[in-house]
Amino acid sequence: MKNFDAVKHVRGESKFVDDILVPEGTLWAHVAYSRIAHGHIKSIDCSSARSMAGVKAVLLAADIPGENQIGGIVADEPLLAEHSVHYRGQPFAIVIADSALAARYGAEAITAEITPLPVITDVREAFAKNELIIPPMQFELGDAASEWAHCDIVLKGTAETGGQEHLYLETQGAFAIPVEGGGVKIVSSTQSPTAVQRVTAKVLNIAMHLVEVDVPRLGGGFGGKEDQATQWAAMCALGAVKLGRPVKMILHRQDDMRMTGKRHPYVSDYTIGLKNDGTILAYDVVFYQNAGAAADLSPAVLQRTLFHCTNSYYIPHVKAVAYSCRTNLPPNTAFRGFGGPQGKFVIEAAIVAAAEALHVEPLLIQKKNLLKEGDEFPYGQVTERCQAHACWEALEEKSPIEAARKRASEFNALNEWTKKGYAVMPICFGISFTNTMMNQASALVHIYTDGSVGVSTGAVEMGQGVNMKILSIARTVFSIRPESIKLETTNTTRAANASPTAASTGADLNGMAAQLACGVLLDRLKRFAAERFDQPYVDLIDVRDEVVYNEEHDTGWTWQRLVAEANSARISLTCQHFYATPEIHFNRDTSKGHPFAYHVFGTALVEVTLDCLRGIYEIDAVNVVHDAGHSLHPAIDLSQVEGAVMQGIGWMTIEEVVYDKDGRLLTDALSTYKVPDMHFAPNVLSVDFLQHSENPLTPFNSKAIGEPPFMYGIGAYFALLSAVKAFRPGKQVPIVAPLTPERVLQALYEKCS
Amino acid sequence: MRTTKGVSRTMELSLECIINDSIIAETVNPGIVLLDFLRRHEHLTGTKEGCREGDCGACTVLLGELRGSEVVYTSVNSCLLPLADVQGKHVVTIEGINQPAELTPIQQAIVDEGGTQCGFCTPGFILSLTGYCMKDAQTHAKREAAQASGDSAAAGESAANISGVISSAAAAILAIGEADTIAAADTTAISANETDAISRADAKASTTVDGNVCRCTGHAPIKKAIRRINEYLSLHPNTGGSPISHLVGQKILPDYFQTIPSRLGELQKRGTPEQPFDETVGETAPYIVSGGTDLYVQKAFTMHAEPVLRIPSHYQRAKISESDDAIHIPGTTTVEDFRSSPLIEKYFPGLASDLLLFGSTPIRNRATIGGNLANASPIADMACLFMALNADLTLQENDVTRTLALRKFYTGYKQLAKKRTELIAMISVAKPGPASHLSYEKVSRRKYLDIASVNSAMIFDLHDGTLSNVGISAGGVGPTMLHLAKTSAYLNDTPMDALLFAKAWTIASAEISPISDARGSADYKRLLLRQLLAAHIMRCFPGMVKKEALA
Repeated sequence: MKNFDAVKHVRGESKFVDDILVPEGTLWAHVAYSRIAHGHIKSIDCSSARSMAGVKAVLLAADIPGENQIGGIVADEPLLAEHSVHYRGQPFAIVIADSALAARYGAEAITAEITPLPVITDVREAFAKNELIIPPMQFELGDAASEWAHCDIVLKGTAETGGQEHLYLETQGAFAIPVEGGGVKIVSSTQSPTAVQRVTAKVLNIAMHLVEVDVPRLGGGFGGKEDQATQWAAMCALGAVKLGRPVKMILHRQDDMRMTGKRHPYVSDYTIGLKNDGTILAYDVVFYQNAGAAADLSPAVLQRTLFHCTNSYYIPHVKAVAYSCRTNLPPNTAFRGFGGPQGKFVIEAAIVAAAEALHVEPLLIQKKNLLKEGDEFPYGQVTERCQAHACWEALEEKSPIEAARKRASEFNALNEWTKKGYAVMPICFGISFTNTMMNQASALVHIYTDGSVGVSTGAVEMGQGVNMKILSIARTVFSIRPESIKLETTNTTRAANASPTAASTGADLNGMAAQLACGVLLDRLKRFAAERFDQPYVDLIDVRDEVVYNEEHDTGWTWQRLVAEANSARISLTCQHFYATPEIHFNRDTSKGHPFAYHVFGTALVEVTLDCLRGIYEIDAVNVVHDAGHSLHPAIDLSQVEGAVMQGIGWMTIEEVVYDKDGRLLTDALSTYKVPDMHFAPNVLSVDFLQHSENPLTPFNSKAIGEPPFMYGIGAYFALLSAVKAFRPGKQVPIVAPLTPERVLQALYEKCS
Repeated sequence: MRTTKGVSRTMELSLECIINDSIIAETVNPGIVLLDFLRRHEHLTGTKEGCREGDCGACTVLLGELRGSEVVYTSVNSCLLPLADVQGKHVVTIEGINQPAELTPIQQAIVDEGGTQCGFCTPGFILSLTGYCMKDAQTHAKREAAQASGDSAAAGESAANISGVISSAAAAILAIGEADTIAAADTTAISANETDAISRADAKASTTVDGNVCRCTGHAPIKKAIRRINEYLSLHPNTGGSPISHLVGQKILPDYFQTIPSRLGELQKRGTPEQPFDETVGETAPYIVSGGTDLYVQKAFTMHAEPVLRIPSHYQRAKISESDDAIHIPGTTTVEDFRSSPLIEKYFPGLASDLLLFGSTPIRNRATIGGNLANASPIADMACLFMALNADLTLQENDVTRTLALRKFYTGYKQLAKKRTELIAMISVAKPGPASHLSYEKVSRRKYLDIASVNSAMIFDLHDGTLSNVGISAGGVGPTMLHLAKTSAYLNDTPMDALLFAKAWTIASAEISPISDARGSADYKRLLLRQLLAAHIMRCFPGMVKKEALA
């Protein structure tokens, strides 16, 4: 089906927040933020800023009429710092001025006197000092402690993964327009309109119904606009209400990078026990999550790390403990995979270490321990419609691993300074918000009297194609031309109390709600037609391709006629419908339950070439078999997988977030933070979808797509590691991601003088 | 105007240019960047701001300049382009590419292959790829013309260039010599059949979008779209005539493009005023702008309020030339003009592909050699090259010129042995002899559009296994681009043997003083330089540096 959004994009006609014409009189806001990572605020001097040309106001914490609080899970984060600062980049003042530049100059003119306190950036140091965001979490299956004795080998190790900058191409931004009655209308680039509404109401001390939030579309989100789009919108709203004029803020890239959190870095210690035949018997893992200075979404991210700590494997005895540690970095936040990738990386590292000890290839251990139908996860859910083996076997057929092995060994025998490596990466990812209450959505569908349809849901379009997927659902239900259907902006007055568009659930939840709403409307129309055509059995009325049939005979009524007649007969052409995922539950006290509606499976083979003289590398090929169920839009799902794979590879290789000891972000621009580009993408990135995968809990047997394929990227790390070992057999290499050219070269060579 | 820093100079320019299909005649601040003018003033919001430092390509536009009767278009980052440089030119944004009812073949290919998700980067990609099609049509037109006149060398030139790019891109990672036979076999296997021609074109097209970043698709779908565009171009080749008319005929460009040459001609005839080369501003101006692709990154929010000295256009029109024993490169030469110069290709074959590692296509279209040298970055790619080549600089102020060796140009971090008002008029290098070899190495976190962690160039003559006239530069390992004088001297006239490298490295290691920063730790940079020096040697002496020697 034609992708209407794509057509607008290539013509430059899609309207992002900064593209919408603002009302006359709109002012611009700019944030003044801390240049100290930890300290007491002694004073803030705004006098020179206030006297600057164009500056209309400087707002501080004291100017907030309501609660100075934006924390979602834990109330530990002020909108504007008042008494202390806890990370470099923490906002403490908002300057509002005639122009963006005047606001910037104003913000630069504000000086804060801050008494420095000790700065912690290291997660182990934070843990040692008991700086914990929340109490530790633990998942347990079987009895790992008493299983070590039954293992042939037991290995201990440490694995680290770094942060990751979201680098949504559209930076954070919002504008707010004051409306009558003391309210405000906000246009925001957020994945969570409801969070913007709730927090703004709290900050302004007004009711939620006085805050309307509208989201046209996002220029990328990836989790970075789930919780951290809120503050900018709230600041604009504060300015708009205070000054009675529209206020707009679009962050400059460098400010965005400095002020917002990233993917959580983790340091993890593991112990793994196996039999000589490669069967994993027991796994003990402790995760130390670098949460940054406030909770943000860290507790939920931490929990998902535990959910995915055994990846796609069945391990009978597991003990997994996770600590969320407070440091003086910007609060880290949601990012595609939401802690899952960090959990999976550690079990993969453990398997690779075990394979080396057992003198076998890692993939033998991986395949031997793959999940089977009925296997229990550490959180108590059992595997249903398990596709782990099916995906692995389909990959073997598509791109034989034996052939990759041969390519590498032949090449490596011929080339002394260049080595090839490869790795297989199976994935299993649970779908549903792990916070069960969030698994709800609503849709509002209007049919207008000309037959055109408007669909509103809580889903935010950010490039993942949710609008096109929901459009295809509505089209399938109504059997009308896709051109007749429009997905409306996401708006809190049309979809109230919506969950964020996150956790890959956007199309599942909102699509189900839309399907139900469209179904009700169609049923209403059919009943009306049955009455008109004196047909006692409603089921014998059918609408196909905009034609109304009665007992398979063309009635002469078009869809448009049906709609117009129904309207004349005073039949409601509007339906609002609600959907809540059935069956799911989770007990946080016991860490057991059935938290996921279903799991997504897949397997990837990643091949790389390493220049062992220079320490640089190329990704040669990525072959994937992915379980997408019955895809709602195969072209969109294909592009989602391709994009996720590269983002995952980026996280594992060249994307490095570097803070210095004082908590200053060194990689605060695109000139220092590098993401995969055209040349970095492999020439072979081939994705097949698994055939015959059923999934009754979603619209038309589809499966969520956004996050799971990100984790194929982990294969790139271990493929590179195998190339390193081809050059330096037996060399012990610290397992630290990303494996930048710097880390590769330092793995290949000793320090030189 | 920024009053707090005491700058209150009013600057005005009567801007006359064409944006898409519209004539613009406005009084503007010439220091404002084109991106802001397009978005905030013209409300042409298809051009996006992603980074404001030329690193994402979301703001890419095409800039057309009248040359003779034709308008030649190049892609540029509108976020780094002061309005002064738009004077008398044609600016093309996505709004100026759109056909009324249908998609262009480029837009259609992106849609069909899933090459757009969120859409924010997409207009930039479309513009870069449209620029590619313009270049392709031009190349075809030139080739047709050459064939018609029987000039076979010229007819083959563009194809040769394409394969040069390919062999380098494919071989760069493997360019170590010795037993890497698979790589060699791969590159020679590229034959002349149709599919391979399209593959070569794919690589070339990929190069033209090297300044565009897409965070959603990871670029694989865009690669497929590029393949489709090249298939389209090969089915609809330009068989002569103006490249623009051809592209209009193919619906890649809208009809109005045909009117642009005469309309720009009109503007020129009316004599669009050039920003005067104001000597008095020269006395006080804190900045001399030549390209400005670094300056407008560093001073993104203040440059519009700074009086600047713009290099007058008679400098900019100077061409690369040769004398009996030297090649002369005007300081205003853009990196792209340098890279694609037949003279440079003649004397330094292969350098064109090395220089693909410099910035991106739109950056190379703007950045100048003189600007890169004067910017004095310790990892400046052009300084790296010319330091090894022992270039001489001709410094000019008004009518007074003097010559200074580049090796004496840097006196400390960002310190130059030059008066502020002196311009780098010319860079001159000796012509390499038949026994000369040039090796250029650069490693950065990402291979393309990235700044070096360490870079190094080495030139030497080779006679009977002995090196002479050795020149080695090293960047990223000291406060300035370094000339490794002692290492070079040691290698001079010493017979190459297995132990030589170890001794040379001991000397080089004492010549450098790397520091830790965002581009790598000091230890890494030291190690990396050793590896790159080994790579220089191994290019000419495969097997000379043993794995055991690099522990």
